[in-house]
Amino acid sequence: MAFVSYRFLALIVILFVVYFAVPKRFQWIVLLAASLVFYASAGYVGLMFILATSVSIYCGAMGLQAISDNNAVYLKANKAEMTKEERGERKKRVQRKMRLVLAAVLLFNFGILCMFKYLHLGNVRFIAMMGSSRLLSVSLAVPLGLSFYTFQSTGYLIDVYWGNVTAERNYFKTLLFISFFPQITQGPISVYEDLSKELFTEHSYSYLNFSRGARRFLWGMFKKMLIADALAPYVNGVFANYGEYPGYIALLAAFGYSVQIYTDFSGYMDMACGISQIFGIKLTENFERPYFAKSVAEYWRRWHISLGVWFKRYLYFPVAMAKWNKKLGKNVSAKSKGFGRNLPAAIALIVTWAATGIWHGSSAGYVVWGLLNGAFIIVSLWTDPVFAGWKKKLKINELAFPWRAAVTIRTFILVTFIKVLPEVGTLRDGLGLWKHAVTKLGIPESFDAIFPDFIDYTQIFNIKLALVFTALLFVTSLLQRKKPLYEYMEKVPWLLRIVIMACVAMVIIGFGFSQSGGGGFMYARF
Amino acid sequence: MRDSSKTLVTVVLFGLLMVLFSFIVIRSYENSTYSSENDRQVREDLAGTIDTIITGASHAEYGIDPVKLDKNLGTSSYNLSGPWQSTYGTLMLLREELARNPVKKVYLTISEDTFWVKETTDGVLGDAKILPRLNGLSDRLEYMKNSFGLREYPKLYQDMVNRGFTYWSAAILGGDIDGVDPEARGFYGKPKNSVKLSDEDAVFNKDRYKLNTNVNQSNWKNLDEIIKLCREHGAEVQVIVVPVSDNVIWTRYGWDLWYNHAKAFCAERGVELWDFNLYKERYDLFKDWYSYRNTTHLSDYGASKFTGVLIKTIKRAEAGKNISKLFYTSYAEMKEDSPYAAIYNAYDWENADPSKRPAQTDPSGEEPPADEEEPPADEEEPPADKEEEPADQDEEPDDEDLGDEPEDVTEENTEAGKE
Repeated sequence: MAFVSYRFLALIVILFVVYFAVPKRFQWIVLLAASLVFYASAGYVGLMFILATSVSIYCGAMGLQAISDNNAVYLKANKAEMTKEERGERKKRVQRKMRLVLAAVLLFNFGILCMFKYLHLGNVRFIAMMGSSRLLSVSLAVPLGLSFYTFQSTGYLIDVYWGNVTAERNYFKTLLFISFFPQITQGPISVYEDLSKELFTEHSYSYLNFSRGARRFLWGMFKKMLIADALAPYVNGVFANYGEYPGYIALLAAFGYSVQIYTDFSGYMDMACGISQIFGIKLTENFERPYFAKSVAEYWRRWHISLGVWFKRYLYFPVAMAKWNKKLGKNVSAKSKGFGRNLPAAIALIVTWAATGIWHGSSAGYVVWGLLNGAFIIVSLWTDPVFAGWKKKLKINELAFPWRAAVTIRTFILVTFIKVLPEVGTLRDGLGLWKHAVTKLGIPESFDAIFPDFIDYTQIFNIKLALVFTALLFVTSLLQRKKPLYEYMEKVPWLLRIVIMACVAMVIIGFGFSQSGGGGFMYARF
Repeated sequence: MRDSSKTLVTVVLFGLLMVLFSFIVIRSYENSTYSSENDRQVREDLAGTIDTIITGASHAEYGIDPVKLDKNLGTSSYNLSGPWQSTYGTLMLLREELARNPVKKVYLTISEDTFWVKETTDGVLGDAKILPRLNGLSDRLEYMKNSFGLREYPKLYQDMVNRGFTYWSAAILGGDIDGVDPEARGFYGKPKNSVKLSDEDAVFNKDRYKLNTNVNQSNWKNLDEIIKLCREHGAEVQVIVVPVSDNVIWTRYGWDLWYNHAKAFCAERGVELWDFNLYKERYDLFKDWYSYRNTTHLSDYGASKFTGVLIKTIKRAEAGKNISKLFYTSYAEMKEDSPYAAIYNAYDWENADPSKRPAQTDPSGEEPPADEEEPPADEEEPPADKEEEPADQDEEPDDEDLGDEPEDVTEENTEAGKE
């Protein structure tokens, strides 16, 4: 069920009425039912996989909690009688048990993920004998949001293992946490302690939430359908045959891709957050105007924030704080203090970024993409003190607008360069596109020369419109530096606000559907 | 105001505004005569003068030029076709035009898509284009009731809003409204596009896709109604198939099955069928790939040539000469003569790396046939005792205008096009 479809709209309307009509203590059950309906609409086979994940996570979390609780009870009762060695021995035994449970559940879930994502299980056709002569051929589609819900649920399990949260005793609540429909397809990847508070708290109806949520949903549609989908034919067409066009077209397609993927992904996030807000549920924010970042590291703190937080919390810190890594840092520090101090962080960064690359895809392009991001961050980590000294000597005011603008543009170019590499085809194609863009750049003779011959009249019109809307997006992003967009909107008189929203809806219907028809989102493939 | 009351008022206001805006946008388009898909005003201006109608879907709209037809045959014709025009849409439009014009001849074009399309689930955009072309609210309501399934209404609404906006933006920004040329009499010629099938494609893509040869009885019923209606108004019906590119013929299979349906339909109703896909000179006439705007439609250049062929055929028929000799008897026979057949047959199959050869399977999972379906035993062969054409038949002086090069196809732009 696509977000942009009448079926989804019907689901939301029904859910809205039922959610606020039932006694508040049943609200989460209504959300669970809606989530299961949403998920089942993508196929029952996928539903079986998410149920398997939820059962394994529930059992794992309950198992870990039981081991931990039993240990606590035992220690409380017997602490006085136990020697230090006995306590140490018991602690080791308990930890071993918990690690075993954790490893088994993680293996099971990451195993499913790997089978679909890296071994491409979905492409295999299973043929099963049915009765004596009938053959049943089953082709498995990748379960909807597999990467996202696997990360979210395993994050919860690790938190239970670490004792950060108490395991949820109600299986159906665990299932809702994993399958909450607005975020299932593309995240955000929420942390249990945040999302559970939102999901299981009783919510009263609020007009403010309704209007803000509905506006945000429309804004997301606007970004997705009028910008991302309009740019898609240009970007895809040029990426497929970049060598046939002048370098400036390849260059425009590359930067167009940056705009396309941002508006597509952040558009989805706005829609997901908007729907949730209507029901009084606040989701983790995933974007913080990323193209205004002044370094690659900052960009990643602003882009797909929840994934960054996941990797930081469950991979970067464990690796950075690992005993062997710290020891290595200490040993190297003895020879080179600066290098040794940063080494554990650098190793953790390399591991994290390689994993981030692999999360996005199994091709070499994605691995290089991840490592390049890591490399840029590590280099800036090491060179920052040097540059700080230079800036001081050259008396550069880092707060001055020209400097801020220059580093922002530099970062945008850098992230675009990295971003495009795995998207053109193979890594060689990605590098080839950039080589072509630089060596065969050329100058367009007219504005219309930037449109390749495969773009038809209607598409040119849509792209021109998308450029205007991108400029509007840029302006709104600038405005958001001071306060959120909704605060500006709320200063507009109520009636005028409704008129503006109706106009936006008309423009989306008029121009958006003709180009996307409510098509899929780019990040869903990850 | 309480939160729930305020929400209700907001939703109602929003809904009312949407209705109002939609009305303004759609109405502006719907009233914009001479826009690309609304020739209502043009036809109204010509009312009482049209004696020949060409009707069907996009193949005919882009493929037959009434002006050229009139110049050579002395008729007053109009091309009443439209993209994805269903048989029901054709019936509705014909009903209006036959009532107000002294029509003597109707060229009813059919294509490989005519029979299978289901009115209420397929081709909603084509159906949407018919709507503003109909006169009067009652006709439109009747058309909406019979032509749109429940699920098609949202798409219809989006489409109408989109057209309204496109019209508005073009009008405001001074862009091309892409209007119908009233002088073109319903013909909508467009320049060539790229249609070429590479040698490798020709080898590997033979019979790759299955033609949908299903027959939806409602289409036959509509075609029956059309023939009946024409006869009631004293108009003779001639069924025509406008040629599609060799690319389409070569890469799809099931043509003869479709052709047999078409022949059976026409024979049962005493109507003649001219399938110009089977026209023997098609390879010479349309060998240039710029004869087509895309794989299934003729370009303006191709349309000019095809209209010439049509005129020639009409003249022959009117002179009582044998028409069947101009056509292949089956698609299988025609395919054997295809320029791609030589490439296919010359391919070094024995030494070819089998792993490089893509499996020739239909995306639907169906296996391709071993051979093109054989024409049925009762297929009409040219009669053995048929009189030989007079020697001067082929030298019959054609009208000066027949098959000439359109003015815009110069050697220069043709070469550029080839690049």
